[in-house]
Amino acid sequence: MNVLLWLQMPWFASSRSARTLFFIAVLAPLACAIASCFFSGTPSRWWPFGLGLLCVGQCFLWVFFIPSTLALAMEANVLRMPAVQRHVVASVVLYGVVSVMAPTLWLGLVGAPPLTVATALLLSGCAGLIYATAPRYIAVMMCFAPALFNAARDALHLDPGELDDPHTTRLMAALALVVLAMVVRRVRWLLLYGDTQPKGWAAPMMFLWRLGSTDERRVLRNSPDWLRAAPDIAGAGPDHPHKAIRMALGGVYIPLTWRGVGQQLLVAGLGFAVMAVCGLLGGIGAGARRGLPSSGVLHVMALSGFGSLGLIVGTMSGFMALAVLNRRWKGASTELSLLALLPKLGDGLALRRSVVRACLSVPLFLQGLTLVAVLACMALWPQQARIGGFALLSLLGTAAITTALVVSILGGYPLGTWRNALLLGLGQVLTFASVGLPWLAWNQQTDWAGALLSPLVLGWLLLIVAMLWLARRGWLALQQLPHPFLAR
Amino acid sequence: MDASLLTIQPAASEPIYRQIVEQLRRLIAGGQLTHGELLPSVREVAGFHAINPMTVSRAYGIAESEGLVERLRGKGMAVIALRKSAQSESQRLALLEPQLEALARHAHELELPAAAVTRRLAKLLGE
Amino acid sequence: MNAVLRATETVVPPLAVRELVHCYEGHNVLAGVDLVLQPGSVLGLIGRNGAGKSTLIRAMLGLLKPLSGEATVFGEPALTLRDDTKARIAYVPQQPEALAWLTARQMLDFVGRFYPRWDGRFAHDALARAGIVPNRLLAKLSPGERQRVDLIRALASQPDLLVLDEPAAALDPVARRDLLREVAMRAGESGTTVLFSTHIVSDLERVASHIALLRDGKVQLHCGVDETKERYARLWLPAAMAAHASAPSLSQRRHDDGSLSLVVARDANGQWPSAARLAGARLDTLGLEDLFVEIAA
Repeated sequence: MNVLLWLQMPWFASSRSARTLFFIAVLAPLACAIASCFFSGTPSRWWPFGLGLLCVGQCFLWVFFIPSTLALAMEANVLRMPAVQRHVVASVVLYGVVSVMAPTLWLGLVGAPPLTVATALLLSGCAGLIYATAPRYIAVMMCFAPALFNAARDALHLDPGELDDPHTTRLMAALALVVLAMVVRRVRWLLLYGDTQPKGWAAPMMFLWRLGSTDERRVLRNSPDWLRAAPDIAGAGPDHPHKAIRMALGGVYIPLTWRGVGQQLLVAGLGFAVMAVCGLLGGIGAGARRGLPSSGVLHVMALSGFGSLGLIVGTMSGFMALAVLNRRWKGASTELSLLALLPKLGDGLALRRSVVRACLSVPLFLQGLTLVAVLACMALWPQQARIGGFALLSLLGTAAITTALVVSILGGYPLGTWRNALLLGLGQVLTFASVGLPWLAWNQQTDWAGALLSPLVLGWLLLIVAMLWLARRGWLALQQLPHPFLAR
Repeated sequence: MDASLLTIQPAASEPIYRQIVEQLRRLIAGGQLTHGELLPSVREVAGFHAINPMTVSRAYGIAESEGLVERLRGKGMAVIALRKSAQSESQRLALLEPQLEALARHAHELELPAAAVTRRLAKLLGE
Repeated sequence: MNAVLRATETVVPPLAVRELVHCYEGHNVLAGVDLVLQPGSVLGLIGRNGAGKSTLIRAMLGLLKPLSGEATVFGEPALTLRDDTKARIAYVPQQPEALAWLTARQMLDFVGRFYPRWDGRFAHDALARAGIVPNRLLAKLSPGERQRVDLIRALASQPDLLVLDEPAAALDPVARRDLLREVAMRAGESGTTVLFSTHIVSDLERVASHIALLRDGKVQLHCGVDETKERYARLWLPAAMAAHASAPSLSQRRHDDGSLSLVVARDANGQWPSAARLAGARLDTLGLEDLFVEIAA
């Protein structure tokens, strides 16, 4: 009855980054729930909000951390260590009981119906576990479930009924028990046979999160051929050194043929298209209930969706490019050795320019596309052109951040994962503020939002200047290095 | 002669070039290589046994300087196998030197008197 | 220019380092390494796991900046090599992972564009001989196949200097024999200088002309392979004699029963040290592997 060990089991089974995620994804909602409970005057009306937060935390707990222990148990099974497996199972059961019972007790004390609470927690836990242990295509479909559900509800005028209705609650409780049985069966099957199954689209998501080395190689190994985009070898030679450097860097930098680009767009576009359609349907439904014409709603939603998609793409491209560069310029990477000894890449200043051009090309190109998207929105929607101006400013800022971070890595002053994430996160927050605040100020006539506009612009300008300083420092350091591909 | 006739033991404490020379000497003395027979090229031997061609050419060079082989222009290395009687007794005795040395060392380790050993040896040789 | 690095007036050593010092995560990996390669030689760098062989090789090629010391390649400083010098070098790292997103054929095509002496025919034939499917993604090959593809990449560029870091570690015996044969023929016939690091000593004995032993951050033994076998031997002294022994030795090992094993060298006249003539002493010549174990253990 080693309860301490069982409680610590997810901690042991997770990697360092997963443990930090634990604090953010699981403990933060819990903390918010506790805090909001203290601060709200009427606990009996607060409990749905608290329940929602707890369900979010529960979902994350059962999506990431408990499956890590299950992965540990699977490997223990392969290594013929039954003791480990028994402890893992005990740990999972303990967490299951505690994560459902403890909040039920707590919320029951403040007046919530215990059956509802327990059912909701059980369902979110099972949903999380299903997402992690079901084959990957099911998990992907689950991502679209909320959007589909919303769209269906609005389009078909369904009404699931109030939360307090006992009949619904009893139905949901029965459903939860059935789902639990299915999940338990699946988990037991995985523990026994999981490792022997071929990896690929049928493999559960949790395999991707197993503690292991070189995720990039593993992803490449397991990806099917039709999903992989064909790289464009033809142009990458001594005549175009920056393209050759991009080819050697890999990841998002690989120069693609037009067919390859089409393939990637198709795959990414499909997911976005489904979400867009669901969102539009839901929006039209909501608009219909308020009496707005559907074409007007469509116009607004399409344009704002387009704009925000562009902004997201801009930041994501920066993030992914930085991830690739951080991996390559760390320690004894073979890509750096290859590039350092490859002749005909150029010398001195020309080589450094090629390297910077290669490393900045992909993220800045994508951010440039985003710029075009925002400009198009502004052109098609002249009433909101001023918001477009703010969006442009945020794009400039994001580009400056990306440039500074990239050149710092090249120059030998890598800021490290945390500071990178912080800066990019800051950029993201400011970007949302740049779109949200002007909209609030000019569309909703909110005064405090209007007052914040000039500080926002000032903040962006300061950030851009700081980034330019960082970039300059990195470029000077790059010139001091004997050659740009030196191992750190 | 084929390169497979030689056996190379890279892990032995005797250097490879010395092994080759020893084997050539013994093959010639034993009559398995006739006079005028061509040795395989350095490239063949090195390729077959996966050893450095420099080692092989060093061995061939030593064999040439000891008079075991001679270099024929355009053809390679050819064996010089003198008839057994033409090889002096001292030369043939020199071939037995390693074994005699080993015998002497073993006898010394076992602390046997020389007389007993030579008596037994004479009996074995006298048969 | 230091006289050590300038071997002779006309012959430029393909690789030379002087007093190389490098630190990694706190402890000294290289503590003053001096090493010069002669053109056309095959140098085997041996050392225990973690002795710093890979670090030394990377520092020699200018892939990392050492804390102090000099490294030159064909007479040029290793950190600022010119393009035509780079075209004469080929390096195969221990676990080749670069360009894993290309197929074997694409990778060889891509790399071949940068080398003026690239032999595409050889690359094609060698791939076929190794039984590797040219259209398979490199990431999906086994480690041994990956190593073979990278070796083909190195050999196809017809280098004057071939540097291999633990080349045979992942290969099966047949592939290993093929590699040794290829290396030996290139060294012997084209005069390619080869440096390879390994802890499989039997490979060295076949093809290496020189060996260098890296231990405690320094090169402790650097001489020809044949010379090593003829010059060093193990002297075993019984417990009674061990106290009297005063022979200069490369290493000493005391056994449980008090006897002593020393690795001794012949002196300038070719004579073994006087301790070899003590009563009960035994002198054994050693193969390279035994010699290595005696010295490095």
